[in-house]
Amino acid sequence: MSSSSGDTFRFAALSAVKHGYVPMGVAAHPRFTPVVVADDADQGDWVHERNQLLADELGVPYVKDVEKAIAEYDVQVAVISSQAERHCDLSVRAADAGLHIIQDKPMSTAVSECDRVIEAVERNYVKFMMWNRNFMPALLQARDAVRSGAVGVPHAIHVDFYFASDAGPHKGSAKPGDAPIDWLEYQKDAHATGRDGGVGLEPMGELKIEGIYPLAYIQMLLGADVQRVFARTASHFHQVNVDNNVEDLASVTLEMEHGILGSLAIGRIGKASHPDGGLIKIWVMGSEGALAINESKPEAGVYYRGQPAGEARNQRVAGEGDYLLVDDFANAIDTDGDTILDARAGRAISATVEAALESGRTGSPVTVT
Amino acid sequence: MVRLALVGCRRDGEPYAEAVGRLQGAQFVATIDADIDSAERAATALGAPNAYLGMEDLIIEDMDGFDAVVIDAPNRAHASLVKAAAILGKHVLVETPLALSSTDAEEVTSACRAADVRLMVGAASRFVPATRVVKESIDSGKLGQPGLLRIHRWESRDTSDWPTLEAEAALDGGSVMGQIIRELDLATWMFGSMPTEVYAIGRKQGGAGLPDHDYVQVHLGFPNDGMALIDYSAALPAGQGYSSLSVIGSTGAAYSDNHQNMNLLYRGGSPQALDTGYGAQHVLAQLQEFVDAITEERDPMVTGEDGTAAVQVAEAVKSAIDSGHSAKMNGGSHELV
Repeated sequence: MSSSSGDTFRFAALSAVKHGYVPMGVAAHPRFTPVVVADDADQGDWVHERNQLLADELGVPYVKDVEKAIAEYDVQVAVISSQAERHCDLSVRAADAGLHIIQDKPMSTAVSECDRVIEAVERNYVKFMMWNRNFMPALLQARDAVRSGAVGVPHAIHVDFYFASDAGPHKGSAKPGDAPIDWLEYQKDAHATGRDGGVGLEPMGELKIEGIYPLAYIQMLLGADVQRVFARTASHFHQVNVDNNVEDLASVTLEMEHGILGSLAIGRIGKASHPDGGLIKIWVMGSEGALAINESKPEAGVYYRGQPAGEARNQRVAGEGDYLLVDDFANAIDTDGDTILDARAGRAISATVEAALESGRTGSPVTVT
Repeated sequence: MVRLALVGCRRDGEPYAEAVGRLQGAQFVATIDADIDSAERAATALGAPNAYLGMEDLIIEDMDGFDAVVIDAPNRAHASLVKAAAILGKHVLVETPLALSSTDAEEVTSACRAADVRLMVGAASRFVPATRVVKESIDSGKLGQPGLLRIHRWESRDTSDWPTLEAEAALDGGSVMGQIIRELDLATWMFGSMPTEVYAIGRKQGGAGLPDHDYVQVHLGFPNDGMALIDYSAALPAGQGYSSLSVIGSTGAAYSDNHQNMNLLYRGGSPQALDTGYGAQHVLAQLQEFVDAITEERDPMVTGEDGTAAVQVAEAVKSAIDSGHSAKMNGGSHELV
């Protein structure tokens, strides 16, 4: 379906069991109007409950039939925030229905699924965008500095991406005889209280859950594909990660096109490990200079007697990132251009993550395929 | 009073000159360099009464007039100078690297032990105030089990310095043995062990004609799932450098970053960042530790064994860069896989 410049787009939230902020972020843009929440009828009660909550918040119906909802509500855009292992299936179905797509991260739990999405999106000539953080003010500043030539020809990039949040009981807290923490049950509980995470049947570590963000930064800033990785992964902080054999801490050496080198340090490091929710930093080195970027800027600090220990002392205050992201998506539809993070870019990130996980398992460098 | 002789005055006595006025229980009594002018400039800067062309001259004239040597000579001379000091019964502070091979490092460490002289390997990075805060937070248990160490160190090399870089590459260990070895030492110190895995890549960012890499990136694995990412660059444009160090542990984290230490100067146009810096505190602390180890008759904070460990890791890093493979600890050494 096509839309002329300036038109509004009717969107369906196809499953919103996690990250309700994605459809809410889309709904906040004046060119996007939510018309329905939909999901497959065979999903569990907890899925339907969450979808209904979102539908109530958006003031739209909830329909337990995806294809029926698309047809009956004249939907033009699908916003997908299901369990991670269903992302690609819903995206393919949306593409085959002619819908443009905004999909939550990760792109998929399997690179092969990403290939299905690419095929469907390109066959149906629809736009696809992975939800990302590339329009944060500090990222735009870094992008502008790199584009202006301020650092010359880039030759290295490093990103720290730490979420200072807890993920249930700490590592080592399990007592003899304790059953392993069930991944899905833990994630459902985590999202009941609004914490971030990787909702789905399949356990996921931080590389899969959050890796898209820093790898998307690297893609946007340097435009170079990752060709080979060497990684170390560990369940270092949380019992749920130990019990499900997925990492909550990882370090990755990146060897990229054009001889560019990089590294990524990523983790869910525990609430105590940063006063403001986590450190996200980007360093770019080039032939003429270098950048050190704190992604949280701009921010404002508030301190008061009796302030809870877990309350951030410094708060991010530039909330335009989501608007600019959705606006970029609208512009891609208007102009038949590329989105900031399309299906092929998303697939490249998934492949990098898979290679890093393999490297962490084998202890050897792995070529990204 | 511990009497110190500076051996190697290529920096005219800097950075010790900034620290010497506050050094307690010691003084410089002599300087030595094959360039007598450098030796004399260093003597003036350090308040030392005598400057010599070589160790032999000092030994002949005043063998009993000094207790210890501080070696700041080219890297290629470190091992032989340490050994000579041990033979003379003089305590030694030698700037890193202890030697250009682990074999030589082990040999001179043993020589000093046998001669019962204090051997300290210069690791001024350990004495940087913010780094000490980070280490103390690990040692106190505040951070729990260290998980990920991240270090950046970037500096500039003027193009007029390329001949020096070439000499270093040929004789003095280059970027790995001459530069990033400091960060490798920090990593073994922070984790309290040798790395079990080593992976590294080098690049010649300043041009393919460079004799050695001016950019090195290292990835280390440590016991208990520890890991370290280290990058060193000598390719910044002329001017101040940048450094950053952070440790993420199982129960806490510590961050030390030049970025945090910036103040702003508004002079029209965009504001300039001013790095507040530490002055010569780390140099003084290192010298004082050496002096105290002598007077207290104990091992210094950075021993010959520590220096040898750093050289071993640097050798593994060089092997990894040259081969494109990772190296794993097997027995007491790293083997390529």
